[in-house]
Amino acid sequence: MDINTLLQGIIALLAILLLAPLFAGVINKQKAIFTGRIGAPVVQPYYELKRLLRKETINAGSSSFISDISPAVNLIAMVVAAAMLPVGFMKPLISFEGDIILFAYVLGLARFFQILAAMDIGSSFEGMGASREATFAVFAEPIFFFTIGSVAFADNLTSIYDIYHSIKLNNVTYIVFIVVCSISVLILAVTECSRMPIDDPNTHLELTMIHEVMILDNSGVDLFLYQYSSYVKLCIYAIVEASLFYPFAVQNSYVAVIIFLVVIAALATTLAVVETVTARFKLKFVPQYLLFATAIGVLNLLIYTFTK
Amino acid sequence: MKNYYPLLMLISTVGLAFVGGLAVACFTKINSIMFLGDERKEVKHFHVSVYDYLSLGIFALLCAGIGFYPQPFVRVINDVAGKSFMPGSSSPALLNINWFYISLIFLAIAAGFILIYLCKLGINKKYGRKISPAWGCGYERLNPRMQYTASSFADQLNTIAKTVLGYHKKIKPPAEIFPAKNRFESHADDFVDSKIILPLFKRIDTFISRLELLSYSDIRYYVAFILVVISIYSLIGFLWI
Repeated sequence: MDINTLLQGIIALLAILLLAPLFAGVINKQKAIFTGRIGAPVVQPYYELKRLLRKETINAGSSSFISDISPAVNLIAMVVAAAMLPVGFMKPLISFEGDIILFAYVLGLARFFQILAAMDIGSSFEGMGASREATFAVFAEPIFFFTIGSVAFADNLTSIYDIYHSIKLNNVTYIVFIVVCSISVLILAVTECSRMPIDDPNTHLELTMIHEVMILDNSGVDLFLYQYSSYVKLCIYAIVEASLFYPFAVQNSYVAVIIFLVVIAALATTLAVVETVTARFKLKFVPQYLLFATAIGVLNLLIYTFTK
Repeated sequence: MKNYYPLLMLISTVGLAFVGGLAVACFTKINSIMFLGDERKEVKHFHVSVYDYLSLGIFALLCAGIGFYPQPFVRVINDVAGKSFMPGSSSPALLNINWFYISLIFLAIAAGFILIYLCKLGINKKYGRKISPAWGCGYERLNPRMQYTASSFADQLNTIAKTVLGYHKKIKPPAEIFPAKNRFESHADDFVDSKIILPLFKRIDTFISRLELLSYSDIRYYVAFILVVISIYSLIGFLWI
């Protein structure tokens, strides 16, 4: 890896880490506008993070070292996953053959510790959230491999950067294949980031939450780390989706960055619209929703394979 | 002819992802119920010998070792899969992975974790940290019996797959307004066991029980049976030659 690529990778990673809360703020602002409210400023997530950082930390009496280490494991897992993504379609900091598997399992590591930390509290509320997270993860993980994995399969590649850079728009079947993949990725992103219609990030009713209920008994710097990790995770899935638009950005790097930012902004608007016009699904319908994404992924792959 | 081997590999990977998701659910359930939260009853006599820790520690170290430096183990698995199960179809993808990166990234994760944790300790020192009871949604008298159970944790997943698992619950509906002592049971039958193996053995058992008419207390009948069987075998042997 030459020095320019290294610097490019570091800048891209810093951009994700610095701008992740802004992305969440933009979604919230648009959602407020669509529902006829002024809403909080787009930098509100930064204020909230700053406030949390200055709060006293309160831990539940029954919590063990798992609750203590889990927020830090969550954040570092997200940072490493973010370092594997081609921000602005550029070469990421971490890129090698097989990194797609590492990417999936680094995100899995964060989820694993979050479930354990939720169960560590010993409260039924966190237990319910952990149970839901574990159940939905069973259906969500295959979606990733049936979308990004099937793009990889189409060209026999295993590096995220190479996979995205192999996307071409010279074949109608392939275009349809990529469009359906992007729909599956969007469903996955909504699920993984606990957004509507799977989960409502603004709700405060313990019985209905997934992500928020798992961190219900966290405060201060622990809550800061969880919240910041969730912003980075949202940004990660937005980049996973936006990178599918690579074929429109092959001309030069400046155009690529502009197109990338436009797609990210469009995604923020899409999420805001979806969250405005849809109600939350009943929890029993969430697995069906995820199986739908898996089914279209499987069909998409089979149709592409047999018509190639 | 098209080569569908990569497609097969992708479907296998997706299957593994599904199994991986189930493994996470199972491991978090077992680990959480055994080690996390508070014990329901006070455990008075509990002793684990050094040798118990040592034997489990070896497995834990092996797991960590494979995680940090997986290359030799992946090579062995790839060779076994390539030579024994799918001769000539071994994928070079696993061997092409530069496993040094994996080791480096795991070290980076460990280093990053230590850094974030130290920062967290510093912030806690500055702004304080205290212990408090868990959030009870207004109910103040939480006790260990109210903690989430393993059955509740697995309930949603079991309900989704209830047809295959034969998952069923037994609960008596409350008869009065105020809750009284009640009982709840949930079971998941083994599909293969309850629908295939046990019915099969039951039919075999029924068939064999019909042969009971051959069971006599007089030893001479048995000698006669042996002679008949030997005669049949001899006849078969004679006709075979």
